Amino acid sequence: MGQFFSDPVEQALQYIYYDLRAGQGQEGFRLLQQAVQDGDADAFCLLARCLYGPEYTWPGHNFPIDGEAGDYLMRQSVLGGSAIGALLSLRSGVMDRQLAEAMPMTLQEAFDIVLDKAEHGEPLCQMIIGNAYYWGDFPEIQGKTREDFRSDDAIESYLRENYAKCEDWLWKSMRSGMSSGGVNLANFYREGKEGLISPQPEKAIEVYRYGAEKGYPSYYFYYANELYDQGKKEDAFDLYRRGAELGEPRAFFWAGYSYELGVGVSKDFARAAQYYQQALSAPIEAKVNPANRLGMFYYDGRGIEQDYAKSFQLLKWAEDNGGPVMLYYLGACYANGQGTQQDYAKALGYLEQIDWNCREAFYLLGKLYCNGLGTAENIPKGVEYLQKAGEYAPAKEELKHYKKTLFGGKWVRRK
Amino acid sequence: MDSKDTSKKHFYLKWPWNVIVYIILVVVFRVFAIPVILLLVWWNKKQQPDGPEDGYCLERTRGRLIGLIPAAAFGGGGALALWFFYLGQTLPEEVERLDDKMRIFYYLCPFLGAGAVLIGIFLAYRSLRDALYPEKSALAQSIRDQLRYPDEAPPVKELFAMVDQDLKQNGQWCGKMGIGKEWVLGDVVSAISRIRGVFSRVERHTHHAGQRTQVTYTYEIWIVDDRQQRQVTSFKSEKQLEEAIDCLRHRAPAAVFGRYDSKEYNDLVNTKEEMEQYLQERAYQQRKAQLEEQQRQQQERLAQNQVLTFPDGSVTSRITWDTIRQLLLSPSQTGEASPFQLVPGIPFQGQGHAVSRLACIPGGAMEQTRILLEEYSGSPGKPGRYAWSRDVYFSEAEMVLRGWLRGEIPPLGDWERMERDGRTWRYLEHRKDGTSSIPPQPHRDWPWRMTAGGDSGSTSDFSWDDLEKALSALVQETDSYLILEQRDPENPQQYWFIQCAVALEGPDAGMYAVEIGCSDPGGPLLWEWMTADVQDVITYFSNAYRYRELDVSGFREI
Repeated sequence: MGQFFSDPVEQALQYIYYDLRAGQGQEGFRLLQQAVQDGDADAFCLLARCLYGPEYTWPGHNFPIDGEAGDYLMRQSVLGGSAIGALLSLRSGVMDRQLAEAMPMTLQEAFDIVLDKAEHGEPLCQMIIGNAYYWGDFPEIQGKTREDFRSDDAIESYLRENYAKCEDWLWKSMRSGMSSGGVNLANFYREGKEGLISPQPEKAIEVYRYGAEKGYPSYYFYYANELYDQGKKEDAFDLYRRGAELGEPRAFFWAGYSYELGVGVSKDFARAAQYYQQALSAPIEAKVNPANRLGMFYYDGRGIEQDYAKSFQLLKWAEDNGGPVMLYYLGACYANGQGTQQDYAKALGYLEQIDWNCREAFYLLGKLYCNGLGTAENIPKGVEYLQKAGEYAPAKEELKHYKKTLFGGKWVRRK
Repeated sequence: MDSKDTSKKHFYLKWPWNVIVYIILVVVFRVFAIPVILLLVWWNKKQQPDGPEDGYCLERTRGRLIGLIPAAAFGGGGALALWFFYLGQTLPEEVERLDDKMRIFYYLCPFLGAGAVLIGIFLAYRSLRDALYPEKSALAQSIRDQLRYPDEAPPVKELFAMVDQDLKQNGQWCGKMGIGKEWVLGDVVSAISRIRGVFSRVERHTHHAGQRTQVTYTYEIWIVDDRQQRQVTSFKSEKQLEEAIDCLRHRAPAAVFGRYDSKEYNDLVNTKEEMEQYLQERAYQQRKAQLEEQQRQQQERLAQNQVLTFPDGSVTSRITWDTIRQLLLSPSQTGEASPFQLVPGIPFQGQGHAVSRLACIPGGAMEQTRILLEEYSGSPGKPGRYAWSRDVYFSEAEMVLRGWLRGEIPPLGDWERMERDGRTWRYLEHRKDGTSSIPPQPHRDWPWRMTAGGDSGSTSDFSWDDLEKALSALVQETDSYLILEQRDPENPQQYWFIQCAVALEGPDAGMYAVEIGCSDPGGPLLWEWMTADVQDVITYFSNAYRYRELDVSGFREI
């Protein structure tokens, strides 16, 4: 038996929360499953958290998501007499009147047990206590109602005093190795509590900096975001790369991007492509950017073997999912029948939206207009595009097929 | 579909009337005739948009008449010198009064005069010979020289036709040099397969006469063939010369390119040793083989520019035969059916059809594999209405798929025809004669003829503008129709056509009836499609004329 929980649970906590750099999340998950089979009530609620989604643990673990199974496990944890299960079920919305009546202890009793562990230095319990204050669960735990207060001022005073307690507990959890504790701590600093506690956004950045200094993978990402917004791109990219190296999925895209641009590091398209691929297979939502970048890499054969089908699939997926539209690449795919069926009208639709100096696109537009592909033949307009392509060799070659008439100076096709 | 071969042509001044007109103009207007003649030459050329009616070669030999001008200059100068000498003979006292320099000139006059007259006669003879007797022209001789057996060369008409046809179909013009796929027509003719070196000569010549300095330029291309013979063509500008060099680089990529009188040129031209010549030829053949291999690989890549969708839905364009073979054999190894499909970026054409998709349900090494070929609907992204299906054993599946990777469609005679039925396919009823119930596509290598109702016959000498005008002019009358037809040049019994007329009566009266017809062993076949919009008709004809895909999904057999 461990100091606070059973041995398997303490080991699982180590793997899942306290030592992310070890990359042993799956082993932690397996230990929890085993503990659940052995009837460990604490393991039930911790496994439930894993199944609720990456925001409850860490996206880098790549745990399966099953909310229904999570709810079931959470209930079993409460009924099994787990104090952390009781507080976590309150937070996850599983705690209803029926469950509250059936659980073998009151919420206050559960709170006291968890508080005791927190005071003795258990990081998860410190975070749970901190969250109970941050999310405002404390009145329900303490059984307080409006009638217990003499005035609105007394209520405000009570709330202010208790909300503020989250700061200390969340700092403690973070310092003890529970990186997730810092998320709500930063939120607390950034947003404050309306009408009660003023925001202190500068302290939120301090939390991220502290997390990054402690080497928490997520905090490399959070702090890099702050630095990027401040214009310190090279420092930001360095942190993104460090985060990505530790398996932080949200940093994969940015790490890849830094290798693509060669900011603060030598250009390495193969590594960039590898990170984009990792970003695409990670359990994160922000995938349109890596899809677009990797789509372009596949099209150009940069850092990866050229594959038009994969390129088109990625670029189209990004477009369909609200990402920025890669106008030239999609236009070129349609114009040349690369990775999709040739469709001049669609190609024209994309290419004509290009409002920057893209000579390859001007060349394609010139060809389409001069040959009446996807549109009515318009040699003067086509030639104008070909001329806009400047020194681009294929455009110069194509221009040779047209000439100006002697009188009137109209562009026509050479016989 | 029979037609008289009376072409609708533009009027122009035919040979030799054009020359007669030019001479008359010169006689009447003297030097002032030059701009008028230049204008007439330009107009005459414009009236023959598809190249000279009598062919490029004949035009080139007739153009040698221009050589009469220097001939006349030499002849005139020589005659003047002889006359001067004759005058001296009749007036010896005048000769006595000449100074020393003039006296020397006087005594040289008969020789100089005779020489100039002889040169003039030679130049005139050469010009007249080339213009009036093409079979004896230098151009005809240059073509004969390029043949494998010059002594067995066909008559000059066939020689010229050979070059003309190539230039008409594939020719690119850079100044007066026409470059086809097989022949280069410059001042003389070169066979591209014999070209071993192409050298540009750009020279600046400065002449000083008194206080005047005259600068002239020489722009020439020297083509050296495999027998070390040189064919020289001069150009008016450096731009024309560079264009010609660029074009020759594409058409004869294995040849040596460089400057005239460079080391490469001298090596190629002056090599006398048989061994060295052999080494040069071997180097050329190696370069040629290397380029052909590169082209073949590129062709292979192009043929594979398609999307392979695996059973798990993932896609790739990096398709190898090994991948396909593994998929075909997959059921034997895993026991599971693993359907896949191949979709080319540009629909494949062949067997008179365009196919946009191959779907395959492999049966492994022992069971039959089902292959479905979906016909291209004519519009990208729109599913095809018809397909062909066949159950085949591994060896045949392998053959079909290997061909497909090269962009080939298998012979579809024995395949089952299917029609789309929602998301699935159903078999079509078999026709007695086994022909398809959808119209085939036009043939890319068959030439077009146009027949417009009301005109006297059909013509192959027409442009898209003519066709578009004729379509726009269609009216609801019996003799208002338009036929765009093509016949197999090797077997004129085989034909394909698209025609249009405005329906005179019936429920579709006033609508445009577009019909596609073709020859078939079971008898002629005809399909029809009605539309109220002439623009739709123009689109169909435009696509056919330009050998693009026709959307035949709306056509019904009649």
